[in-house]
Amino acid sequence: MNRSLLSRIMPFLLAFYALSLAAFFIYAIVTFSATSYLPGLRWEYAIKRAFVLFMDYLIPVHAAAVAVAASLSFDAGASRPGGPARPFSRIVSSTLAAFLVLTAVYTALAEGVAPSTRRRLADMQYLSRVAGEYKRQAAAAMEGGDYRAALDAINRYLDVDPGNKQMAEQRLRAVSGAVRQNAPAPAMKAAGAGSSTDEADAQALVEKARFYIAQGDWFSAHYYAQAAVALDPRRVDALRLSSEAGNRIAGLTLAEKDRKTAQLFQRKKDALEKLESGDALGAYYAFVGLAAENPKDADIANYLAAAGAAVRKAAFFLDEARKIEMLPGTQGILFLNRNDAESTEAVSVGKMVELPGGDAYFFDIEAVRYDASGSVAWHFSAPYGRRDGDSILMHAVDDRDPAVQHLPLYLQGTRPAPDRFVLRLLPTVEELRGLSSSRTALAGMSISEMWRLRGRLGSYGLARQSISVEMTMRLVMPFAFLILSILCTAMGWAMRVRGGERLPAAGIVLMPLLPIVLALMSLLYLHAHRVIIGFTVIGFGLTVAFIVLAGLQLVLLAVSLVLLAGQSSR
Amino acid sequence: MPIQYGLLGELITRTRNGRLRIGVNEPLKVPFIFLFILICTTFVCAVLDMFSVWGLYESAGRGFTLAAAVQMLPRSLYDVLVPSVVLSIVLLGFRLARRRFSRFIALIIVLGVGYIVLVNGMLWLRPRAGASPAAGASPGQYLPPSTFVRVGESTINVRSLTDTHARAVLVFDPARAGARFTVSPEGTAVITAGALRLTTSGPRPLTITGTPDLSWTSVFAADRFTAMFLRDVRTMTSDFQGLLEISRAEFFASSFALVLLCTASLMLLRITRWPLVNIMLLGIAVRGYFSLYHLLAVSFAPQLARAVTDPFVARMFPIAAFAGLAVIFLLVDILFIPGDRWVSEPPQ
Repeated sequence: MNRSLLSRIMPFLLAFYALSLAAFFIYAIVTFSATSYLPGLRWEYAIKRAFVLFMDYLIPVHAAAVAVAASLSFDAGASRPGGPARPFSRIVSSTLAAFLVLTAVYTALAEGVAPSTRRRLADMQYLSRVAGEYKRQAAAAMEGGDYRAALDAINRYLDVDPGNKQMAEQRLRAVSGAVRQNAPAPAMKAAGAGSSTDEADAQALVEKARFYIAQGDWFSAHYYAQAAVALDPRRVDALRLSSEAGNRIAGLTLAEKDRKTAQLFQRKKDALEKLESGDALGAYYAFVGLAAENPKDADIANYLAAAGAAVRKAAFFLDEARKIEMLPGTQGILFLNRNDAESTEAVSVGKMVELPGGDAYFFDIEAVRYDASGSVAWHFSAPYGRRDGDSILMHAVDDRDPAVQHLPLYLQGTRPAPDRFVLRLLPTVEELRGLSSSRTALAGMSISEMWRLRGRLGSYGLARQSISVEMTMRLVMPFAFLILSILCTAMGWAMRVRGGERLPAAGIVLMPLLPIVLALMSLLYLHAHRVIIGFTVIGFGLTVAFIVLAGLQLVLLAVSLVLLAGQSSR
Repeated sequence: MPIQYGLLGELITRTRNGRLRIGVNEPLKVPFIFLFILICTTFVCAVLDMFSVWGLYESAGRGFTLAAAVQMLPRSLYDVLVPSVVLSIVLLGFRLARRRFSRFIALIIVLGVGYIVLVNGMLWLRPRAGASPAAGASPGQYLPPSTFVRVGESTINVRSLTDTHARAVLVFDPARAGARFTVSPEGTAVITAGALRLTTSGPRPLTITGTPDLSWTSVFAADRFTAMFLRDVRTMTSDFQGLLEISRAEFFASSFALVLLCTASLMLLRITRWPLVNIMLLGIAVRGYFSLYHLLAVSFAPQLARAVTDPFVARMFPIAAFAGLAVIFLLVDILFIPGDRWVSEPPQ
């Protein structure tokens, strides 16, 4: 196998790839917007954005590398310096094989890695926006002296941006502020949710133990003091509190112990009655209170689990939803959930996060139903939702505080009680992913997903033709990569440096222009394809578009091969 | 055997067995090659233009038939002739970069053929293009029923649309605080200069104006760089068409300046010993001319119009700049670029 042209092209390809990646990385760093993304995401953003740009402009970069390498092949036509020229077919055969391999790699990257990278970039932007909102809420709450709310907002911020030292410090101030306010809820929050440092957690538990000692609840005080010691054995104050509470418990008279046992039994019985009567939420909160005071009671633990499961059938926990909101997901989903002769139902979802096992959470939901005359039947908005079968449950509850609940807010009209907090969904989770109004929605889908969903997505209000064209254009890309590689080899070979085997100095200076010109040319080439495909899809349907596309690629491939074969090896 | 040329410049050589072989000299071939490239380029560009015009503006109203194509073709040809001539000169450069050729003969041939085709083509196509109906979208093109369409920041969905009358109009405004959906019983949609204006009725009437977002609603969306290129091409084409309407003399002068600049730019094909770089330079220069024209015509010419009283000066300012640039290129070619750097390829 003759490797002369291939061995000339490969170093150029690697150099152009590396240089373009470096240039895109620098561009991503320079254009990084601290208002759109969290500063802590800068490097991840730069790497992912550089990769996405690299994939977007890989065809012109590759074409430029091939053309330059071929045009600098001074001796590729001869087996040895000054020797006779070999047949051109032998010179390019290995290069063509390499192009086929590179086309396969390009396709794998474009269809495998690039869509998920685009989705992650969109998600980073969403998370940064959410974190910005939490930061603003925290600042407002701190300013207003509402340390509980501030702590909640800071905890949620730190879930997104755990490395932010400024917010971590602010959290410590919020924790101590909340403790000073002597309110049990913030102390519990501080002890349990999203702690950023062990010291802060231990401090919160100690404060909690102090609170219960002040209340005369020695069992709870002992429990929290022990928990603080377990977290930080150096805490002498926690040990002292634990010992004090233990002594108090040991000093209780038998009568007092009997009274407490009777009270506990009665409370358990009341909570169980609530569970059995269908008040799952009331039972859950009752068992949560009992479990906090009696963490080792097996009955309470079992009933708490049963109550939690019963709650999950009609609602879900807010803390869980808020944690899941930080995960990558699909933003800006807008679709027609129902569109028949009677009425239309439009739904907007700010973000959807999918979980393993087919579960999904929804955030910032708004839905409206109206009839053919534009008369609204109902219109609501809900901050949180969880997928339950083919519906969204929109009843979010706090796992500790019965006062905190999120329900759909009806802006116009209402619905019967059983349906009021539930929205039946027609699209599947997979289809919802394709219904995002974000520009990255289709770019983030693979060809197979587009093919499978294209028919159904149209019925949800998405322009059907745009999906068909996007899908067909994605099919064109590997062909474009291969055809432009061959054409640029022919062009570079035909336009080799003349008058000696030395590269002109001006040529080296002007070399960066080559990718720019080839980018413009390749973009025009792709746009011409888009026009032809768009016209065929609109006018004659997807099947005809596929046939036209196949014929066109065949002709272009044949022309490019003929042009390559027509080159002289001299 | 010494090289001999016939009366028409044809190359006469003798084969090894003594038979005469007559080859056509390059200067004789170039006009025909240029014409061939020009016809192919114009045809391809016109067909693509026709496809996109139909898809963008007419597909909702009528199907694409042979009769429709015949009706649309003259207008498309008229719209793409200017860029086609310029593009053909660049494509011809691919050949000229590899062949031994006199710079002056190349200049005269390309300038002559390009100018004749451009001027006569525009004159011939103008009345025929006028007979073709101008492309114009109806509201139905932009607001297909039960499909979301983004206009500015808002997204619109109508249940049904009759002429300009929309029923059950849903507007989604993501930037709005509170309820982002607004439903109106009726609305009126009109298209003015490519922009959609939707006015809804009801308790909270809304007016949404803007160009429907092509990248979301249309399948013909160009990427950012191609869109800029097409915008620059449209500016130049519409100005040339406008000049043809106003004054033939100005149109002739403008056409000459444009073709002269593109032809003079062929000197870039000899600027280095590396033909690939040379042809890329020519490509980027021609792309730059479209941008330069857009800049001069859209940004500078109005400022000039305010400073001078004669509209002729402002109108011809961009093309005068082109002519000046062409003269500079010709001088650079004559003074600094060796004429024998054309090619070192041995004669075939």
